[in-house]
Amino acid sequence: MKNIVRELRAEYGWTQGELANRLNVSRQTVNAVETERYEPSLSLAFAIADLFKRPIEAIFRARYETGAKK
Amino acid sequence: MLDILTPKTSPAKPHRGAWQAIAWSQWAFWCQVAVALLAQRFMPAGGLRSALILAPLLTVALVMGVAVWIHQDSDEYIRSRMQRAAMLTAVTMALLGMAWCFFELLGFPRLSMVWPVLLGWGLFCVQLLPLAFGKE
Repeated sequence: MKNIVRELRAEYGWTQGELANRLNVSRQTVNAVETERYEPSLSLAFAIADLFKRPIEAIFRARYETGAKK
Repeated sequence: MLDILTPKTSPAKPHRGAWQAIAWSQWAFWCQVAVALLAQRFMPAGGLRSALILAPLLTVALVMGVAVWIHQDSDEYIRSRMQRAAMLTAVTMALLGMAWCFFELLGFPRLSMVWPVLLGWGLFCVQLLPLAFGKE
């Protein structure tokens, strides 16, 4: 799954640690989501969408939608 | 407002105390393993020697308790990493156990099972060190 969490975080001017604190998760989790090594659970994805005030589908995209190979 | 609609994430990141507990319980475990090995080698047979040799089982229980605490206290990503580390460790230990058995059948000298156990613990800890020290 592709996501734009890193871009949104940069837009808000937050560090990974600040975003992690706001989401109540570890910094490692934020890093893993941003680098697409880990696909977040639905509850975390909703929390991210809620925090950035965007619909969940505007932040997370299936790879086939973006044309990416994997 | 409907609280049920409020997104809920996994538990917060682990307490610093939880990681310290891992370090202390591991320290206690390795000390008891060393004492058990010394007792097995140098002490005469008797109740005290048996107690010292069996003592690491108590600290294994302590380490397991701390690991469960860390697991419950972690967020979803760290939980998944712990589960992956445990799976890889279990597979490695199973393969090592089998290899030990076949080596013995081939006539190699009998090796102590303490080696796969130590290797397994080491492998598990090495996989979790980057997480514990926030190097990811």
